[in-house]
Amino acid sequence: MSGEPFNITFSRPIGDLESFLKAVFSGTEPFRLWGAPVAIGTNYFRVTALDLHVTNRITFEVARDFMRVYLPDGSCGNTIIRLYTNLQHYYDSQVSLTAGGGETLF
Amino acid sequence: MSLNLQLLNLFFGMCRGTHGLPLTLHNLGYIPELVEASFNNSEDRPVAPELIIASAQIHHTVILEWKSGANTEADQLQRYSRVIPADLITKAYVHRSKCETHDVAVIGRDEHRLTIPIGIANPGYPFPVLVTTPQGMEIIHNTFSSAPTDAAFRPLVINWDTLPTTFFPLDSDSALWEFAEHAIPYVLEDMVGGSPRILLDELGRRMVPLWSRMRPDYRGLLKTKIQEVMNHAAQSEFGTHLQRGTARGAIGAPHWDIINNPLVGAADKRQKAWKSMLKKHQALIDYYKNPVRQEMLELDEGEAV
Repeated sequence: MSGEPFNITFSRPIGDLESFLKAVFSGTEPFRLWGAPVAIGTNYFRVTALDLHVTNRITFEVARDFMRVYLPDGSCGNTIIRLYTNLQHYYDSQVSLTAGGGETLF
Repeated sequence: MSLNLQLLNLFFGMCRGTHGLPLTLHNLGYIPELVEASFNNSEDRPVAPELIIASAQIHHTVILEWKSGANTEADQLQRYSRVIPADLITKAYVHRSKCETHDVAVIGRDEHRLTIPIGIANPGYPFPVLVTTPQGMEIIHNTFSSAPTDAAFRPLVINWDTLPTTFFPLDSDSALWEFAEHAIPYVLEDMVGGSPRILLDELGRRMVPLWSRMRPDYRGLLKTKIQEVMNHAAQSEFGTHLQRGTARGAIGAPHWDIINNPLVGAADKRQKAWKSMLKKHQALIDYYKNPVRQEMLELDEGEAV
């Protein structure tokens, strides 16, 4: 086991987290992420998802102001770029992507 | 989530660097070395810490043992007290540059802060004792021999509500809905790949980190839970796609045959199939989250009433 999760930080808290997750993980365009969000705390969800572009597994932990993204070994790095771009384009133009140690990637 | 999984995920997260957690251990160069592994001490007696973290940067190793109960075990503490750097190097395979010094740290729950230190204070062991608190974690007895490591826990501020859960998603205490949540995406991934069947052991290996290094009896507990949710899925929500195989058949191991695979069809049908699979997966999770669910009574090899 190695590596660290990516983190996506939103510029403002997500208003309706359940609706947001339903839209992002429906398996449809533009995100094409498939997964059943499960509540693991108050306003804190986990999604064991599949990226339907490449059918790779990818796990998310989502709170109102951030999203941790775990790419397993062997999965496609494009997944994270695609997700970041789609979130920036369709949800929050000021969204940021950082590595586990806090280094800003985008 | 059990205390074991909470703390494993917390320390992995802090060592790797994870948003929402303090970066102190990460910045000190700590990395997780061993999880749930056993090695012998200088008296050739076994110790089996939950986790060992070590840093080449500060040449220090921390052996972590956590206690969900109120008391420590005298014999276990005595065995930990006889661990020397040579044991860490030659038996636990920690690099010598990381264990010039080491500590054994015991972590308990806040409600046991009065009892946990007793077994450590009376024989005079130098082990730092920490407890989880609503705000994070703090040292309540002794100190780490590494000053920067000690400073990291005075106190350690954590938001328990948004702890990472994915480094170690499951253990034998995890609820069945969690096994259902994690198993199905692997099944669907295999279906997209055109696999004809899902093998229990292979599924477990992919769902649970360090599967092959676990004690067989512990792995058996996890297998039982995976098997239960997969059998239920094959009899209900995913009954049109999966069929329970028998361990006595040609495969010779517990498995589920994929009898209908809409995920490899034409694009428009696949889109519908994914939508349908999402509902089925959600229904399976909801079934196991329901505290008054109706259990299926198994008769023999896949029959149920």
